[in-house]
Amino acid sequence: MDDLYDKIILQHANFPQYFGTEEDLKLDYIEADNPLCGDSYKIKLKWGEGGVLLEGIFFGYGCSISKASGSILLSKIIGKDKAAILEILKTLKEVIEGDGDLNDRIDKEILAFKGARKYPSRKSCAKLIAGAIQDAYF
Amino acid sequence: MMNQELLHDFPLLKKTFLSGEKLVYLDNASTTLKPEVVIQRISDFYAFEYSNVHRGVYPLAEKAGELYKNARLETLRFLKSEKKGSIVFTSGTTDSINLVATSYLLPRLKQGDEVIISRLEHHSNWIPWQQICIQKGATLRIMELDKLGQLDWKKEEYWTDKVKFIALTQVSNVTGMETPFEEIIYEARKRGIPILIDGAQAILTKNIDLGLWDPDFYVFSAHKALGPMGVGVLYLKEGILDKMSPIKYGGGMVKKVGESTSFFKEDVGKFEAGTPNVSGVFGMVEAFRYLQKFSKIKLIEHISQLGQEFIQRLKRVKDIHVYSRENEHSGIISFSHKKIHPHDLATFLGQMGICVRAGHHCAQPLMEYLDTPATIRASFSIYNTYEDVNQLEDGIKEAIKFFNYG
Repeated sequence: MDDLYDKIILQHANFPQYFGTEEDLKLDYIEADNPLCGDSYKIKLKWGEGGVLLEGIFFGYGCSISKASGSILLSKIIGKDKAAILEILKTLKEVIEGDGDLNDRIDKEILAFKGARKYPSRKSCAKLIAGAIQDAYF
Repeated sequence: MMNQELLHDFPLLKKTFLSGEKLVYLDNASTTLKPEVVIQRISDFYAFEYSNVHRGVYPLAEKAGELYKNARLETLRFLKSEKKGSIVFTSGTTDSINLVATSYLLPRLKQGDEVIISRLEHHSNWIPWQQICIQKGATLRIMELDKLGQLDWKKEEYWTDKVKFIALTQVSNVTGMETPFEEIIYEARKRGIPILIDGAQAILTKNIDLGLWDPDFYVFSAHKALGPMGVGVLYLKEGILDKMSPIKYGGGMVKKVGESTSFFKEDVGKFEAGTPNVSGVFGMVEAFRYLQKFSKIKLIEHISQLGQEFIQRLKRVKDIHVYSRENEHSGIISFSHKKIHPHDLATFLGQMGICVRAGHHCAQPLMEYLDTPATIRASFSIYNTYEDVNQLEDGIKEAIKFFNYG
């Protein structure tokens, strides 16, 4: 059980960063919905010159895994440009879905999602927010 | 209390899982486990009796054909409607409902007509009607629940001349609530409105008496009543069969095929084009026989008591909301924890060998009424025990500690 719900994940799920309110996400948001479990988030990203992500916020209903992924992902991509963000999204995808070895250089918080590899039905939770960002902006 | 010996009838319940625990299977509203006799019946057919039906004249084929024919009679007996209706074998509840929607209602439905369903329906008893209403410019009207969660079926708007069909579940697959389907059938019959009852959740947990109720259509799946997957039943009241045309064409359903026209069978065979699921039908009938060994009253009582006990335990746990109503749950208990997401709780319990369902249970319109995107559902069956309730309670308490809400 601990392998899916890594301490880092539980910490972020219970105290998510960049988690706004309904009020914060009334306009200009993208949606991340998982019709299988009813999870539904809104994400708002503010981009600056040169494709740098200046601000990001999310809000909605979902499980520990999806909520933690929003919190961790936003904390990693804010301040980065699109090329760097794409690399982070790719790494997260490999951590969740890949079957290769994961090296020590991967960010510890991103690596926390490796437990999802053993829980096929929970991969969609871990990918939900990253997938919505990738579809909307890349 | 059911006989503990019964546990030995189900191979999966004898198996030891993961780190030594036995399976606590509480996803019975989704599908039930199979007793050894059902598995053996299917295996025996393939091993020793195998042949197609309807066609051959050699002894194996004659025998299989005869058994297949008798299966319809046994199914009628199981539903307590001997010789009064017809039995079509389908792939399950969904297939049965789609057949009625497409073959019976679609040719009759006109623009401006109305079809009534209830807020409690599973998607399979919602979408087929919704789609043909869209196709014909008809209205799908939803029979709503009142503030107490009871079906508000007497409202005049549900009983106008525009209503051409009613499709209603017998038991909700989310809350286990039984609808007042007998009264609704009676009212529909008085007004000449055809009515379909979805018995998917009732077939195991309720007394079934089609002779008494007399619906026009009754549907269910074998796998929810200890039978195999991929096989189900459409019951047609006497006189309905002739009012329906085939919607699938192929071998086995024809009398004569010409270059430009064909003549179809007039019996239920007209709906069973292609090679039927013979082993599935035999497995289903074996499940009926197995179930008939028990007193249905005791069986219903057992399932209901386990559900009731679980509700009592849940009431003592902080931050739990129970959606199923006491004594009206048919052993199906939907609940949620204020802070733990249903999928997190279900995943956690799964790792302890406890199988429950989390999600919208294919009933999103009901979820809207309950004002929640998802619930956790524990549903009991004949082989569950009070020990299962203990383990489920312990599991929930451990999960609350694990997710730091203790």
